[in-house]
Amino acid sequence: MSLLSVENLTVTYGAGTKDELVACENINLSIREGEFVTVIGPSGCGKSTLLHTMGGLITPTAGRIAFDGASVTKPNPHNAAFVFQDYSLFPWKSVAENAGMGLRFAGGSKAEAAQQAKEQLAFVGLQDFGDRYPRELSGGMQQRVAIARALALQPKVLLMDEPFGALDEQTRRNLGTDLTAILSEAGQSVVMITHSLDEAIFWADRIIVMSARPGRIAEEITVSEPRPRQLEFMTTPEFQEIRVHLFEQLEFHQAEAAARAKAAA
Amino acid sequence: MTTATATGSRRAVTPRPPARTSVKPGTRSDARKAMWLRIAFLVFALALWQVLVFTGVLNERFVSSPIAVLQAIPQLAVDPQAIRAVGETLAAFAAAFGIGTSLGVVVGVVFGLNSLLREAYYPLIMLLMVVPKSVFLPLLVLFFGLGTAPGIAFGALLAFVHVVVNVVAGMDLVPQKYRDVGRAYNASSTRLFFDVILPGAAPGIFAGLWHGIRNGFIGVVIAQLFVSTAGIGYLVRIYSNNFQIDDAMALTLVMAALVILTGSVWSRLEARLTRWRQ
Repeated sequence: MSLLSVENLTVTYGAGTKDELVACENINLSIREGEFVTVIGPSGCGKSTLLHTMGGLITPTAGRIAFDGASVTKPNPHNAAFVFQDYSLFPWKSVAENAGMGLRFAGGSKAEAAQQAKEQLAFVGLQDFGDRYPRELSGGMQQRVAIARALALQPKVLLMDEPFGALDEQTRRNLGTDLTAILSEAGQSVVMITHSLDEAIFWADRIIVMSARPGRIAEEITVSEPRPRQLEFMTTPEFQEIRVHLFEQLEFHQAEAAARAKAAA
Repeated sequence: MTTATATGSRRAVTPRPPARTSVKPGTRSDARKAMWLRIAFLVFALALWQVLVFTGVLNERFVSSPIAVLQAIPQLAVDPQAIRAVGETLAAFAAAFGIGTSLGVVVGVVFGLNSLLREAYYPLIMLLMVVPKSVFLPLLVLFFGLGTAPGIAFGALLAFVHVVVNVVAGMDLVPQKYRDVGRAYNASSTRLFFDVILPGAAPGIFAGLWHGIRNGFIGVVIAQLFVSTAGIGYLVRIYSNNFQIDDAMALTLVMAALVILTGSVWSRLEARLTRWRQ
């Protein structure tokens, strides 16, 4: 069953001005319950715009976003909670306060937020760090806190905007494999933007490939291997095949964008 | 290291916290050396002053001498006139700081939240910032007379301008990403203000408060030096006019000590309130 659906979505920035910019064009997409969808595409293809619109942070220029059939007009973190690229933890709040802050913002009581923060921090393996401040934690740990903050709302969908973008390769892989387990167990649907081919395939039930601006959906690839996956999955022929295909696709869209930019100049 | 072995288990392996940063070796002894250099300079300057007076190169009548200033301090400490002056100055400072800073914080925060009001009125504050504010002194005397009031008004004015500028700068420094988190999690504007904007702007607000202390004091003392008939500034003026240079200097020292004391109490308080920054 479709949980979150994107219907004929177009997002135009500065519509009607000479700086008009079409970020996403005529996008149709539906996220099923428990499904893990990754979105990959050349930089500037409107991936983030798509994600932010799905979360109600940006108003569609045309088309609509629907959650359980109802139109999304503003953020509702109980339905879809964000995890940002740069963690965006509040440095003036302790790790536990940060983990509970999303729920608090969304109207939860202090006690409820503290309880959820405690549970979710334990869930992401940071139960002993509640009293610390974010600056005392490594990047990978900070991103876990940000994930705990989102999970505290027990959202039906997690919207992750390049959650591992700011981390080094090693940390990415470790956090990645840990989170595979965590997120599989949590059972949320996840929409995750990534720049990494490996991540896009390793995590996904379905990969959405976007074309260069204006962002359209160029292709959808289904990954049949059941989740959670072990790192060994990356050595299988299925993985490799998809990887080569994705690589060629992205090269193509990137080259197309470059050619168009050249023609325009 | 948390590896693939964690996959499938209930919980991710608990990572270690990064080591806390330690003081760089040598920093402490450098600070000590710097302190000795500073003390050596002060001792040398005071000794030179004393010698120049002693040998008659400088006239003690006009420049006093370190020993005379030192001797004047205990006398001032029991002089009711001096004690009253210190009290008057502190009271005027408290009033000037209170008025100027509270208005400044409110106006700065409003400017930070409302871009229309900021666009409309911030240039006026900037204008006040560049004009040498002493030109207002004669006007303030006309408005408030010769007592403590013009000192309070002038101190409040100085504090206000500096506080506004610093608080606005602090509000600008709240990163957009924190506001985005608030929006993404549907924070009410009250929550957003108290949990995100206010703490995010805290460094600027604290800098503003410190400028409020400093400028409030400066304003009060300058007004007392030139127009008021009360407080330390006024007494220094009287002493100088009467060639009681040792008393004037001793009082100046007391004043400096008061400001330094306030400053150190302040920075302690600030460090406590912004523990998350260290």
